Amino acid sequence: MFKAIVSADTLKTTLDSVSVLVDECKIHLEEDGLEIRAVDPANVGMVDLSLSADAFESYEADGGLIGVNLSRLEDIAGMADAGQLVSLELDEETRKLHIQIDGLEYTLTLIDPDSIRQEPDIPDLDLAAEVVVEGKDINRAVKAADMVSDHIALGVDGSNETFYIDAEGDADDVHLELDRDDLIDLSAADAHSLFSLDYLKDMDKAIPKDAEVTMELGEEFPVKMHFDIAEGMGHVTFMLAPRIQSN
Amino acid sequence: MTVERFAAPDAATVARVVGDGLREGAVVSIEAECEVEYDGRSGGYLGPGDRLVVCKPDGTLLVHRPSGHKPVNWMPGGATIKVDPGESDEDAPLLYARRSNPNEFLRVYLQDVYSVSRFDATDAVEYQERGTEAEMHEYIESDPESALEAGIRIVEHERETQYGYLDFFAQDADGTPVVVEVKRRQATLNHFDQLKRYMDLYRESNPEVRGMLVAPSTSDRVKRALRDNDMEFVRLAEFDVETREASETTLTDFS
Repeated sequence: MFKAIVSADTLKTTLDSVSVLVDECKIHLEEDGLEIRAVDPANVGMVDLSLSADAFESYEADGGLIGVNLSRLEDIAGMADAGQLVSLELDEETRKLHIQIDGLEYTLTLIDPDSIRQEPDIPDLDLAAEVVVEGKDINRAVKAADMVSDHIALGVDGSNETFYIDAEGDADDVHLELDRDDLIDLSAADAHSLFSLDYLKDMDKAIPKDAEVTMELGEEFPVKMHFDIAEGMGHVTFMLAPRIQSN
Repeated sequence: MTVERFAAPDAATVARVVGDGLREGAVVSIEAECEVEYDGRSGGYLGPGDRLVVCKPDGTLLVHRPSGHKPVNWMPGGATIKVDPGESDEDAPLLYARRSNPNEFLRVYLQDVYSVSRFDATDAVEYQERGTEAEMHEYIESDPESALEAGIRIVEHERETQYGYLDFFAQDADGTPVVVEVKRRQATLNHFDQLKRYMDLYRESNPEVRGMLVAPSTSDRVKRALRDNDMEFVRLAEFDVETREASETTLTDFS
């Protein structure tokens, strides 16, 4: 069983974090909150999201699993204004989710979880460098790189104690450096990995500009980015596989 | 059953075969009269006609006309492929593929489906481009001391093991056996894994056995993995490719 009321903002932020990678996903309706884990069809980008029951106005669940068409659910959530509340109720018999937004009632037919791509295993990585940076700085870096290239290199210089991004185009280059003073925190060690800018741009869209993002980086390893949503009552982790550049 | 074919399937059957097939790792092909619509960086429309539509579990979608070797429209791997059977029996099922990096949508309206096939294909072998990989092997065999290291001697080319054929079994100047794996392109972690499997096999009876991964180039990560496992990388610069392309990895490469 599942019955909850949540602010439209929290719901949209939550769905955004997942829909940047997949069109449908499984949602675990645990007693203490929601959990979503999904990987895109190419197996390059992954998201792991948890939203505590405390993030809701009211929340009751007993451990079910539903499959959801994210695009449809987002369309419905999009009908709500910023301050509004969204009420959700699962009808287990008909496998439908009843959604109410200020008098408007929707019924979303759920997808059989078995027909959705398997949830990914989260690689257990011990990444050398850790950077804590504001969401807006990631956004700035991505925008800058987008001007010149399809790829973006993220790195940390262990001795200089700086976090940098590099993007190389056919004619132009972009380089951005942030030192300890520009960052919220830094655990310096040499790290450098190249990523597809398309994926990073999509993930960046889901990162709130004022969020504190912890970025873990290694040498030619995936990047792990974690940040809180819903005033600390939700947590999102993105993982993106690197591109290997031949020398 | 490796291939299962359904003649004149109804919309629900098409949806089921495509959905189950792709999810279970099979290739699904459809012979049908269809219309095709593409929306992405540009747009396009192809009116009704008979075509062969191929869907692969990695998200690749190909629409082939009865002539020409290239598909008239396609979606590369990474897309999500679905079939919407439609509301009633009168509706043509819609096969669509969508991708979000960049945003692309390919719609195939299946007006009249003649046949749909599910092909549970297994294909693990690495494609060896004839000529160049063979050239690399010939180069090594004809002068192993220049290609690999001084004092080394080739014992057998393509020795059969329980894991497949290893490229060369050799012996170094000290008489220590050496397992040699050759790659035409940049050596990846998968190649390291392959060599490691052979090494584990040989090191059971002889812990001294050396392992060599030979390729035109490799990444620092692979070099480190080889070093950490007491294996070596030999660069065959003679076969290096000019381009500095970035190759894709997936998250499963790191699990």
